[in-house]
Amino acid sequence: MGRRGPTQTDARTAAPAGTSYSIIMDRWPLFLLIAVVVLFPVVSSSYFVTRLAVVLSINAIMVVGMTLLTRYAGVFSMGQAAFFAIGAYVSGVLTVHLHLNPWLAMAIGGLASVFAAYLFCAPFLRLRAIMLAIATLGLATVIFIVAKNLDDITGGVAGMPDIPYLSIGSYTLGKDWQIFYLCGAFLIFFSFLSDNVGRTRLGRAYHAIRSNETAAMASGIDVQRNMRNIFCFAALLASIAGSLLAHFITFISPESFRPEVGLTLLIVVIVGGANIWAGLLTTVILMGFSEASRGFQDLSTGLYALLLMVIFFVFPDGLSSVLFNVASAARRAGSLYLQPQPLPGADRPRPREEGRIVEVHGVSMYYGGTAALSDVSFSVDSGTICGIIGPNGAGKTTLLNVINGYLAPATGKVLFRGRDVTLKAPHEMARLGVGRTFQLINLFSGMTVIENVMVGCHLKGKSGIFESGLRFARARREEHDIWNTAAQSLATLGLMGRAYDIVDSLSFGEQRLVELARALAMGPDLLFLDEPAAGLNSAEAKRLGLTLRAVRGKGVTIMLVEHNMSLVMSVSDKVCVLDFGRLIACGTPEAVCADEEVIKAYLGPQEAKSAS
Amino acid sequence: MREFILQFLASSLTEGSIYGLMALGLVITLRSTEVLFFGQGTMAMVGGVMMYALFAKAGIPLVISIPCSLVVCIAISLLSLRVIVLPLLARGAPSLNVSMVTIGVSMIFEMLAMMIFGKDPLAVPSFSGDNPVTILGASFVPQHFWILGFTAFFLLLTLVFFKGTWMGKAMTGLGDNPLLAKASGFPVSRLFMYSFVFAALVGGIAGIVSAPTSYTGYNVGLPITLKGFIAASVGGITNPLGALLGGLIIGFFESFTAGFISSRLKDLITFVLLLLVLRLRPQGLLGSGH
Amino acid sequence: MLLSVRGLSAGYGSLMVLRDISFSMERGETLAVIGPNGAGKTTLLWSLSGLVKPKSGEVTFEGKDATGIDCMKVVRLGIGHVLEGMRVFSSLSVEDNLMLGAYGRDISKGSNIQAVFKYFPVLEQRRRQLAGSLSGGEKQMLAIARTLMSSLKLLLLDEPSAGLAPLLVKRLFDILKELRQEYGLTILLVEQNAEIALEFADRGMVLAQGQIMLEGDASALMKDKEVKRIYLGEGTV
Repeated sequence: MGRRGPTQTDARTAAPAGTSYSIIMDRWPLFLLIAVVVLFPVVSSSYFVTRLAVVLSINAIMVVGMTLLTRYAGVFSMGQAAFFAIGAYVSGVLTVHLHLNPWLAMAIGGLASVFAAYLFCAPFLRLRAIMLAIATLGLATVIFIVAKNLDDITGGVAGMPDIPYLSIGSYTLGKDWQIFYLCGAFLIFFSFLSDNVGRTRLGRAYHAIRSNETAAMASGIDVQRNMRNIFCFAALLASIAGSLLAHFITFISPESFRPEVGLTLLIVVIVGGANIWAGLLTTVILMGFSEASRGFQDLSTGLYALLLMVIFFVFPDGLSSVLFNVASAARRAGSLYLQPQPLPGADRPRPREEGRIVEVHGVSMYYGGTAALSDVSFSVDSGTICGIIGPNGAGKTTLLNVINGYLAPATGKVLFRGRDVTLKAPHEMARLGVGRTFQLINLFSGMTVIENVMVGCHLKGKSGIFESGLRFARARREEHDIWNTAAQSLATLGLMGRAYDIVDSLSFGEQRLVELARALAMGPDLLFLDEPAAGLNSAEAKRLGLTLRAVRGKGVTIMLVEHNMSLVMSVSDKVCVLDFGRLIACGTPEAVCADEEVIKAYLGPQEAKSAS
Repeated sequence: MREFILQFLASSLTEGSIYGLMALGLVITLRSTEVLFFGQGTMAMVGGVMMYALFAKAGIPLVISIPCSLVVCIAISLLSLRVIVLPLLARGAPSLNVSMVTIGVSMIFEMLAMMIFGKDPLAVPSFSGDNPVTILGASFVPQHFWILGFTAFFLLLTLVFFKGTWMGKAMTGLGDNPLLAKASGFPVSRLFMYSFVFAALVGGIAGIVSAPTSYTGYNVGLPITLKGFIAASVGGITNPLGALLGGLIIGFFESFTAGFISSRLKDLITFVLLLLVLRLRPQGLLGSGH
Repeated sequence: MLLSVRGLSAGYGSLMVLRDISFSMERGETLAVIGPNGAGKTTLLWSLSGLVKPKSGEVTFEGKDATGIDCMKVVRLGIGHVLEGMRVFSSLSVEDNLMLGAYGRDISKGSNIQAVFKYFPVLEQRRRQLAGSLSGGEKQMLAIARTLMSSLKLLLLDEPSAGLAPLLVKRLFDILKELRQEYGLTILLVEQNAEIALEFADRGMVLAQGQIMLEGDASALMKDKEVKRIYLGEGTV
């Protein structure tokens, strides 16, 4: 029960900054939102509708945060109501009891929520998805009960009245349309920010985390840290929404923060929100409908539920899967005219490294009572290809996983360039320059080919949520570099023609190459390949061999687990043979093939005798 | 003082039994299908409101109204299985999504119950009168014996079923190694069905026997599912006996909190317990590491 | 002819693992399927026992169509599949595991258990122990023994030697020889260990890259240099 939520995210991140596209075409939902917000109070003069619009915009702010959290990163949080409550109550308490400036109170509320979110993450974020969801619900319930019972501070069930309005200077935001503009401004700001995040490096990282955590880690993504950051971000947005609510209704009571609120919003996000704009639209439609038709309000929960079920059956990826196809076709058309620009210095051959890049000393690993690896020791020289072979169950993948950081050995050491890396995690190894492909294809489903490869370049960027969201210069430059590197990598493997296709539509052989392109885009010094030729026919395998030699030519060291003997023997400088977890031979391909023990391991004792 | 403690122990037992039954249902369906069935609380709700309709309003004797209510629970449970859970699983939907969708199931039935029975709490009279009985200084009402009686019955049934019948053992095997179960020719769909029927029975009975002690109504479903889930998490999310144990533990903490601290904080302690368990021993007291 | 397979193709998603496989088996014979990893051997067994639906092709068992039928029907036909990896129900006792071996068909076949114990005495010794506490070799024996609990016509064995020490492997195959003699079992054996498989079998089939590369009498294959070439790659003979 480890997989996370619905599958598709709007895969629109791949166009590099500064395309020949008209910026309005690209950003039309944002402009539409701005237009709607600006014109709405002008067009509508109904008191009721304006108030409704304020409530909708406040909910929409929460939905924006939750979209990134749930649809992108795959965290099902039923507990946003907790941070909604914290923001509202902190604002209320600080302005009513301590007469603080409301803006300051909002900021403090935001800080408090982020802090609470951070504390929550530490122990709970590593739980299985359904447990995490329940834990978030638990959090929301706890906050709700606390709010109901801290009578002296929060007013308890009776609520807290007389919360002042926000004001800018001497201009009080007390009228509904003024508050609407305020909330609308926040909404526009956060939508813009979140959309940008979703389209760039971090957005891809979240999608990667949800789609395939193992591969995400191998690409250098620190899963825990990224999930924590996005969780805190969503908490911040919920908190601000809560503060805005407090200063709108000027009265808050626990009823507005029932845990069910979070549940309803989660359903909205699941139903509509594969990208920010679809989420906003869904919020308006669903919540607008239920709020507006007060007579049906009691039925709204049931209707939401029905809608949820219908959506899961008919549109497993939410409504936006219908919208997104149109957008992506246009995007493709625009971007194909661009050619990758080689980065200055990218093609410079790396300095020839001498010495051993990897050393394994006495590594043992146990599963239950059996030894998966038994005192394995060998080393790999820099700039060579080392093949690892052995019968089924010999421990080859386990060995790779130990060196790569997915497993910690029971005994023994692993040295990378002389440094002890035995206990390092996969993303830390990635940072040190280790790339990896997997036995079963570990691509990120739902993203295009080039986006998959761009995840490989994750470590090329350092911008955080706000930097990416606000498109600071550094973030834009990083995005450009990442695109270029990814495109180069694809061009090298001849896949540029498929760059904008969803990776699931590729043939098996092509998918394997995409995985290789992703690993190469990292610019690794050491590359682990786990059965890269599996499922390839002999022509494809030969081509792969040539590619591997070319990669070696660039100075990359390759460790290759393979069963395709002709491939291994033809490209490897050195071959290590495992059997029952023990290293039984290590040498040149010719020596290993003639080795009696090796033949015995594969074919049986009789064969060994007849071979020699 | 001693009387208080005994009284709290008594209410721990009765409340804990209800939570334990809910937890038992959740664990059974979770083990076989890997889906967390949020409709478990709906079973309790349906049991309760059916008793209201049949026993309280229409005056139908217990002998008939209890089985009829249970039949309705079973029908709803099987409906959820055949219409929602199985088709989604067959499409390869991850069990998390399917679990989320079962929240939808509970919400729909909540809405239906509200439309039929209204929003007010519904009262169901006690099955055997209200004359309290004092045992060791603690006061019980006859309804409590109904609760304890059924719980003991289901405890026994669970033990007998899982340890003593081939179907029960097959279900255990299914939870252990679904692939092997399938390859061995186990009638997997049928086993799913039986687990859902069992869950409906325990959930329905929980709702039926507890309705007279508090109240019942359209919205008792989700909160009691959560309590059941917490009980299962505490006691062992993979272990049916652990589920019952977890229920007793939760009941214990709630009673003592209500008695010694404040009844308003009763729910708080339960959720704090949940967070603690998830943090310190996610598989529960009797659960095996998963 | 007990089993006939014509033009079988099977795979997972876009990956086609088996391509156009055809072979047949007579009652009472043992056919060993050997070949390098990734060749599709396990997929072959899975597509015969109902765990994977073939994309195309025809399977006939005892003259009746058995293509793509589900696991329950497969078991009822008398086909037993021993999965790779010593799989047992760890929370149940050895005896329960065995009795459940007949759950798909007729659970009251308790009488078969005595026969099973005759061939696997260690299982009788441990009959009340939880299956999860058995050693690897004992689990493998249990996995095989389970299929014997109901009348077995065709046994599909997936890499029974994987993860077992050579001595245990020898003992296991000795028991299999006895069983085969006693019950006239038809066995389709998938193995990576070519020698032991060909020594045990009547006929052999070498699978590589999803296709049948070589086929013939087992003892002949044992001496065939081609086999070694397929396993160890070109230019290494």
